[in-house]
Amino acid sequence: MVEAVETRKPAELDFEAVYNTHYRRVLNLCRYLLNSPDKAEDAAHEAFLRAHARLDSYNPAFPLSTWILKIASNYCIDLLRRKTAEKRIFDLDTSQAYEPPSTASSPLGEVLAAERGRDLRRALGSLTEKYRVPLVLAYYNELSYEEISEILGVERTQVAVLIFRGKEHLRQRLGKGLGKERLQ
Amino acid sequence: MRCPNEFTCALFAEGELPEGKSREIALHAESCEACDRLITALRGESRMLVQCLQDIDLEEAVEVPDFTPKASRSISFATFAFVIIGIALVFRISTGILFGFDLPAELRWLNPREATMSLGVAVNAAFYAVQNANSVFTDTAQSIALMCLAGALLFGMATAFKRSAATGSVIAVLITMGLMSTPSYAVDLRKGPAASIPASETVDDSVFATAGGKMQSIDIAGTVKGDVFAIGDVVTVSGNVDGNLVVIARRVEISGMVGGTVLGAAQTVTVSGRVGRNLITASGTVDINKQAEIGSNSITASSETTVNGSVQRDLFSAGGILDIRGTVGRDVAFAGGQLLLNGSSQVGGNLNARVSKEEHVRVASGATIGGQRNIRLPEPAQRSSRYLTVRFYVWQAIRVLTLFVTGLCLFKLVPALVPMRFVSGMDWLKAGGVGFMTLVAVPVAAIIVGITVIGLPIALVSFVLYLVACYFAKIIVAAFVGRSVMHNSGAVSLLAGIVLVVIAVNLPWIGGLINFVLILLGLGAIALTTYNSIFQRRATVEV
Repeated sequence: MVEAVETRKPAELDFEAVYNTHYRRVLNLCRYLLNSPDKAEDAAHEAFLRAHARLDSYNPAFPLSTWILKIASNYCIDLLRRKTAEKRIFDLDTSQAYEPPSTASSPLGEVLAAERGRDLRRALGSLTEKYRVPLVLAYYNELSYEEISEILGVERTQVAVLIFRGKEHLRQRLGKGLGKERLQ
Repeated sequence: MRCPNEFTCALFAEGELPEGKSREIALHAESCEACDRLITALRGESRMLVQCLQDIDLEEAVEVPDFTPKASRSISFATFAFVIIGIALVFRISTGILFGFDLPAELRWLNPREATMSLGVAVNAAFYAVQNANSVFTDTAQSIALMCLAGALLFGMATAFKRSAATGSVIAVLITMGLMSTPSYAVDLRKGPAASIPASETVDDSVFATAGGKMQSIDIAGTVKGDVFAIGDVVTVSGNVDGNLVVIARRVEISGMVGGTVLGAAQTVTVSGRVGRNLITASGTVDINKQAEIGSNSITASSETTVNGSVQRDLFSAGGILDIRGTVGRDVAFAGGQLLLNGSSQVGGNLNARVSKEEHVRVASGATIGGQRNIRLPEPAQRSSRYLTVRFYVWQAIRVLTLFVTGLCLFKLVPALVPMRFVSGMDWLKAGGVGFMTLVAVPVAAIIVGITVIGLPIALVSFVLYLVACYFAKIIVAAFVGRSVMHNSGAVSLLAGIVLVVIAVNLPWIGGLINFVLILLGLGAIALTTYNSIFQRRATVEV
């Protein structure tokens, strides 16, 4: 998703227009991250409140949507951390640390896209936060592994493993009824 | 080249491999059909994931709710002011119902507007600093160095091990204590029947004794070379404690000798032996018997304090009755119900008392007072008239200016405090709770640190930092108030906030309580921001 960079200075921004343009994207991000429509609405609202309050710190050299999505991601991840007593939700189990597992499944075919979007989102929702959050940041926010590692506060390699495993879990969940769509 | 595993292919497909490795895989894929197919499929998968996740925007028609920067859930200035004044009023009225519509004499010293007590503490602290200037400043410098070292250790470890800051700080504290410890800091843990020390026994370490099982009493009849920490029903010291005694019990009896300070909370405290330094207690009754001798000061908060023995230096007491029959080397300071000086009593210095009626101080004819006799009574009519003096307004203007300049410097030096926003009532409630805990916990921790392992200088430094934080607390709240009223966050809004806060804390009848509540909130806000910036720095980086 290539987006025009917002060239106006923050003071000139019509925040209401910004809000109307980006609200759905932010809401969806919060839904994916928090896995709860109600909490997502509150979180989206809070994200815009924070963005509004911090408008002065927005650097117009970068897309506005990226900035707002980052605020929303940070806020949601904060919420997830607060919810879990265990702060280190994105750590790998030490027993399997950094050993990428051999693949039991193969990439999902592109043919899936059209009809299976809903299934895929449902499967994503059934994943634990540990795998769901990196996947959402990578494929919904389209952040690099480096950026994700900064947000989650874990090593880049760990992000790679979490995404790899996350996709594998997705394949397994979708694969049950989709054997023919596997590669080979 | 051997075929790379799927993990490597996935990283390659995502463009997340280093350049050299990436080129290698690209070359391999040109000649290996299986890998090429896998990589193409993986790329397709990524595209598909992006498409499926992002398509939801088009698929679901979500109604966009109206955006109001001042959210319905957020708390407006009017609500904030209403709640603060409400809290102060409810507290004032409920204490009024309980104690009559003015604070009782015993609690008057708690009034935040009452400067006498804090002035007394400040004067004593200053005297102490002057008398011990050399050692205090050397030790303070060492303590600061030590704290920096601990901080560096904590930071280093948190970074190195990527552990949580909590774990890091525990390790750092342990290491620091380990580095600092000498054999005398070792602690002997005792529980139940073994908690008591018989007359024949000598313990070289500090003792941590807790009662348990059937044995609810602890008796220190032997000798302890270090400190004693005791928790039990009845704690008696008939032997010798060379260090300090920290005790929580229903009844405490000291007939032996304590070389250091006694810090105790109990229903009754009876001293008939010798305390080398201070006696600091909060209890129902305190009896300093005829044979008893307190080497330094006695500071008591209790409903009845009787002094038959001798206190070498000052006697501070707050509570119902203070009955002096023995000797006090220097001043007596009392705030509360009644002060009785028996015919046999001797006070070396001044007699300072704050009581509700003059006849509540009774000095028998044989009593000797070396210094002056200052009895302060409540000034009922004068209090309201202060608003009519020019002096009052000049001082308030100076106060506003000082707060404003400090605020500007504070926000310039610590920009992290600027975006401190508390949107919902819940946030404020949390800040209030955390503020209350900080307000209570820091002095307690400072006192404990002051008399135990690491020493007085650290306690002094933390106490000063704590007082500074209490001062900043109001500025933080004023900044919030200013922002809410002026809808911007410049210097002018800070000034406006400070003016409003200063007016609020000077309101008659409830001003003192408002002051207290605002300090709680600000202190909580500072504590929460500090906590967030240390523990959740990454996640709140943009917030």
